[in-house]
Amino acid sequence: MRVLIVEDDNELRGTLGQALQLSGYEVDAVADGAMADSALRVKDHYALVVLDLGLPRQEGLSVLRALRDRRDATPVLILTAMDAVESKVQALDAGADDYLVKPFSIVELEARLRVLLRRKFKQSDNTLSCGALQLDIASRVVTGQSGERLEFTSRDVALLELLLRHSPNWVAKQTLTDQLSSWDAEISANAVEVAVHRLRKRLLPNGVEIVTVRGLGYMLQEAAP
Amino acid sequence: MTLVARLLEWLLAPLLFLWLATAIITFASLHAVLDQAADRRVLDAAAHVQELWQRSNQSATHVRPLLYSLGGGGGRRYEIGIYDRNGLELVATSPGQIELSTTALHGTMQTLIVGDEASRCGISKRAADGATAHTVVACDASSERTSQSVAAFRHILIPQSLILLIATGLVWYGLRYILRPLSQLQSDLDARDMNHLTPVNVSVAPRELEPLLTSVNNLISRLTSGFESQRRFIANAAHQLRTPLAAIHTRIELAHRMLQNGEVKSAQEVLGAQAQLSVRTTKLANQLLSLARSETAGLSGQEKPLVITQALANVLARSAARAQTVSVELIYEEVGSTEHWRIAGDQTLIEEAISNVVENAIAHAPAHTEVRCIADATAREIRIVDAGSGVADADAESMFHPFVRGADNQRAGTGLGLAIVREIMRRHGGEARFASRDMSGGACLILSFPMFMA
Repeated sequence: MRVLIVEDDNELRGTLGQALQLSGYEVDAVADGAMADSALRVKDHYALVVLDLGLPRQEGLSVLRALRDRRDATPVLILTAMDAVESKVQALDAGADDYLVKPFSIVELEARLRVLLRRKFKQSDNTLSCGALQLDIASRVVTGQSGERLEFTSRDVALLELLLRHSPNWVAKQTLTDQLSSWDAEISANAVEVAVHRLRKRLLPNGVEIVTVRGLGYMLQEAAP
Repeated sequence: MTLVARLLEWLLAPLLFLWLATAIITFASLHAVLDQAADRRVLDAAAHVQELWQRSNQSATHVRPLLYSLGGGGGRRYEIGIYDRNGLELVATSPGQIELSTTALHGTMQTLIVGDEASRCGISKRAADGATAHTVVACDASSERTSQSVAAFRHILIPQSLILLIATGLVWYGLRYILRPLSQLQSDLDARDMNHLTPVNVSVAPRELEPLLTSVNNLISRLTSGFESQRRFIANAAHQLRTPLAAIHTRIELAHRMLQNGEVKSAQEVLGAQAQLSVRTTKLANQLLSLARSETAGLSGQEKPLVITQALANVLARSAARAQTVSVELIYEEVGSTEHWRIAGDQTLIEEAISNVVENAIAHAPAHTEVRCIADATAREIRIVDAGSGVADADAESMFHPFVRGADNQRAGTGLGLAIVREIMRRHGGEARFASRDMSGGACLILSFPMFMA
């Protein structure tokens, strides 16, 4: 999942990005409102946005309003030092999905981000499953048919998460490329294909199949017995 | 000193003086009137005895009862004696008591020694059988007279003192009555806490107090706006401190997580960078303090004159090394006769203001460019010009607001520097502003100083 962090404090931006990367997110980070606005111009490029309110060049609220004016429903979490009720109400009414006041705990921020993703993909809990295969979003643990833990690289878990989130629908290859990349680590369509190929081989013994829909993308489904 | 005390002091002294004066005058006139009456009685007594003496053909036996009755028996009022022309005592109430003066004239009062004390005596002289003149002397004791006067005086004095007491009481009560609106005002003000800064209701107070209350209300409204801006500033400052705190918090959590995953090296890196963060948080705290200090530092108005160019030179000396490390050249220029350019001000504050501007310029100047510091005595301003990206005219004013940072500012600024500069300059009757942008692009910050009033 690709996240955009908009935060003008260098330290916080860096550390927050690092922490989210560690939790399996792809992170892009910008320091001002204008850059955030241009980064958000590509629709559905980001799965989530973490947005500060007091920003140089363009206020966070104006970035948010511009985003919603483009009918872009990307979940936005406001992360700010302003704790007044009015500013919370103002931000939520402007289209924010959640509001967290600094200083905060990373654990809480991540839990809230998971909530936003659950809502976005219309899921009820943190466990994604297909057949016997299960992925716990919070702990990022994958379990197989007989409940044994399967070890994957974090890139593979991220790929699996994307496929599971969209299951039983297909996912465009471009979406996978977008969501698995960040500005610091762009991956190519080829690399995605290789990763899918690798994952397919590992999933098959667990009764799950990655189906390629030519021209559309990939789809996760239970393998025929 | 209370108003009541002042008024009583002012009023009571004259009142007491008047009271004393009336008492003395009353006593004196009373004494004079009583004296005259007593004199007449004494003369009458003398004449009466003389009459009887002549009519009874100078018979002591005839006169004696009269003398006795006039002498008053036990509590005697008069000493009376009858003397012949040689002053020889013929008859007397108390023989040998009166020392007669032979020169005494008929019908006059004389002070003679009777017994041991001086007494007022009435003299009656009449020639009996041709040549022989007899003198009748009637005396009453002066002390008796005085005690009479005192008794009469006492009768007047008691009501007079009562009147004085009543008058004082009335003044006291009147004062309390007059001052009652003040004590109402006092209880109104006493009941307030520091957040209750509404104006005092002028309409209920006496008209004489209106100017005072209006001044108090003006003071209250100045205080209110001062408090308000301070409150805003503190709220802002709290917000600003939250972000570095959040960063510290996040960093610790991240390191913790890395340690759990066994990534000791990354955790060490994360925690190592903590030091820079602390430096920045400290800088923010310091600047907040410095702003608070410049906001509250009252200039006493007796600051020593300081030479502006000297202050500028001091700042440049301190900043030169930093400029060199980022390859920026500091250039000092003078316009006009700067050696006589002085202002009355606090040297430390002025240097702090100039230093903030110069450091700002150095930070914004690209490497291998100049920062020009121009001391212009003719225009009474210091101009600091850099070749950085400058400030858009639309943003120029907001740059002086606390916590507003420049658009390109990716450095560890706190957003307080220019707010401090403006505060200090305004304290000194000057101003800080950006020159409107010209073709050259860079920023030109102007510190303008007031005329020096010596």
